Amino acid sequence: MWIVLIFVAVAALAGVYAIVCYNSFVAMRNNVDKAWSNIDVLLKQRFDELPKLVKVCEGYMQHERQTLEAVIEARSRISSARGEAAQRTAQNQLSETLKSLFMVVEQYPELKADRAFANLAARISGLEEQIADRREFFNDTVTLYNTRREQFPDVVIASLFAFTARELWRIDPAHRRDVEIDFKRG
Amino acid sequence: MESAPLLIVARQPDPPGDFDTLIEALTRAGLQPYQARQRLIGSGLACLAQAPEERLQHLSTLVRQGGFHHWLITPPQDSPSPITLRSLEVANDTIRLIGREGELRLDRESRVVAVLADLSGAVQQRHVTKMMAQNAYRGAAAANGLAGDDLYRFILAQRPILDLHILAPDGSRSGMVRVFAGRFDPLGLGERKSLSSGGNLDALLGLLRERVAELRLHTDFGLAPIPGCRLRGSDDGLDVDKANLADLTRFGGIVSALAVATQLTAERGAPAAGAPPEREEVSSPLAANLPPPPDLAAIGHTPDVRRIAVCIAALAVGALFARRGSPVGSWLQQAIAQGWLQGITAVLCAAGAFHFWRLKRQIEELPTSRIRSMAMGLVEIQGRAERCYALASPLRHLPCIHFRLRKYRRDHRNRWSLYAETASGPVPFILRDATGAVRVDPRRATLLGVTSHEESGASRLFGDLEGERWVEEVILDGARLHIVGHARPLRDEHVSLRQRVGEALRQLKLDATRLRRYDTNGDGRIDGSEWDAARADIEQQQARAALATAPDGGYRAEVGAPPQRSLPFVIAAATSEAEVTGRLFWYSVALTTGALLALAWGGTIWIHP
Repeated sequence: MWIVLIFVAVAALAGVYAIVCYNSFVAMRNNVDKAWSNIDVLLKQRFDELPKLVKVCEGYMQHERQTLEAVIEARSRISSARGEAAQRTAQNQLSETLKSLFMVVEQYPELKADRAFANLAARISGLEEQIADRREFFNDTVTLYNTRREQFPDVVIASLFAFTARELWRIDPAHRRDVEIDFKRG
Repeated sequence: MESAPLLIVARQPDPPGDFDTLIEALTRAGLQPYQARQRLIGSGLACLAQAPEERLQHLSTLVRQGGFHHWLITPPQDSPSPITLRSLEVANDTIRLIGREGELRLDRESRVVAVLADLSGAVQQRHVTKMMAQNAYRGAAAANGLAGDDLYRFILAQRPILDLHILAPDGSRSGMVRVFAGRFDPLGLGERKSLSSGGNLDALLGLLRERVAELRLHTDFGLAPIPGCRLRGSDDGLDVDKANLADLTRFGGIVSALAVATQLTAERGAPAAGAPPEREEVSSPLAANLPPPPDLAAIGHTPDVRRIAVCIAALAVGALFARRGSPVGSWLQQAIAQGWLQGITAVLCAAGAFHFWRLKRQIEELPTSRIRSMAMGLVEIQGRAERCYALASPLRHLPCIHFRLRKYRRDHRNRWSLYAETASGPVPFILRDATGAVRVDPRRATLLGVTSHEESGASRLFGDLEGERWVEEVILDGARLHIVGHARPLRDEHVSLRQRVGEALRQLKLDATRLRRYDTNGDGRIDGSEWDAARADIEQQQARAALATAPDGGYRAEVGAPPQRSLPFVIAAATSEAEVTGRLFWYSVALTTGALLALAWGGTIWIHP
């Protein structure tokens, strides 16, 4: 009788644990999707702000058509990108062109002093910081999910119910190279 | 060392701008920085150092450059024996102070140094309490405690003693009179005499001010940190009154020496030494501008593991010690005998253990967000708490965002029994991290890691708590917090450019006068190209208008209880997530152990009835 009771208790505990574990995985998978969508929200805001930025800059930067066109082109590539990987690549490229634009702006003090530009630049910088934060948050969420699905005994539930691993948001390998700083003017 | 010279400074409540530079210099000269700060900031006198003269000269130079008035004196080694005042007579220009041991005469050329003190300890208590309250409500710069006229009046209301040190022309003390309140005949005060002992001392001082050449009054005995001049308490042992009177005499000797010593004036403008503090200026804008707390709502539900454990233990103990024949007792004993109570206990403990384990998992599975980029919904954030309201704990007057004060007293069975409880309630506060700040509404939060203080017995600091025990729990202003809750926007999201343009175009269509400006060909109609031009113009105007103002700096979101009760809302005074989940883990383990023990006990009874 004792053995039966113990067996029933252990089975009940295991069953409860399995249910809780399964529900945890579902919640974590949804958290990963939510974290990705929350990045999208900010990327969309940045996408919408860019035309304003280009309009303001156009009036001052008559001789920097190439830089402005690069921003416009990078923005349009996002619309045509299909799939998560292509989207990420397109967003990374847009971030790079924006950095180039802000570097060029340094040569236009009248533009820098323009109030509309200053507010817009602050807004986009703020968005970039938030996007970076949410990327980190997305990677943290994915790491927690991937770690939990590989740990014992959760790995049993994960395998049984096909909870697959998710991919982290990685940077372009080119950005890992050391930056050469040259103070000589070309 | 007692005969070594002293460097006495006149403290300032608001030190000069480069005060930190002075502290660094004094630290290099061998002083403890914290002690140096204590001795320089405040009101009244303080001894900065006691050392050979060469060293004090160097410190004197630093202090003068730092903007503080000070003196270098040698403490007097002997003192005239005090005459205890019994009565006084005023005749023409002379005041005769008559005592048991002899008498002294004062005239128009006399110089007197008076020390008014209270030896009961009430002044120190009040000073510290007032400093804490000032710091909590008005900031550190306003925390001066009792000073000036307030201090004078408060001493007179206690059991004051007045020492009068009469100075000879060469600056030494030629005599000393000790006046105990209520122990001298006030008839000599004439019309000034009053029915109160403190009033008579006040009148005596008034009389002396009128009749002597110079009267310097000191009221900071026990508050001024000077070696050999401290106020002892009743628990210091031996003859406390005698020791305190000896220290009071010594204090009088030191301040008398100050009266004749050359004051070493600060190089820069500093308030006159001994001048009453100016009207308190608050330098902390946060403390000065904080509104009072809102009307306190009912205390939010805060599941307390200890309360659950105490309830279960009380049931079990009640059952064990229930008297024979009482209905409740017999019902409980029957339930134990049949194993039902153990089963219920096991279920309750298991439910509690599951709750804390699930909460731990939910917190572990949620990464920590930065406040500037936190998404709406379930969120985990960490940072430092800041008050929105001028909330201070009632017992220790500490600035805080939450407090709960429980008061216990002994009942007829000599057990501690709770008789009163007050709490701050769910007062909103701000959580700030390195990236931003967010408002927190703590209603329905589970509080973890709250700091607890206890005072009992005859507390010197908080008054007489004889027979009582007060336990105060606080979350301090500035405490590091870890919060898991539901973030929601505090204001509507900004209107998009498209919506602005759409609205502006609608307004344009209704305004014929403005619309006519775009009729470039003058035919009275707006054709397609003219409408495109109008649209482009409106877009430019709206874009410029949207960018003309900087983003609003107010709080964009609030963290509070989730709409679903199954989701967690935890406010933990902890430095990391691991600390919070560790605590929840041990709660869960404790309740699981309780559940297993109860189950084993009940199971044994069921199997072998």
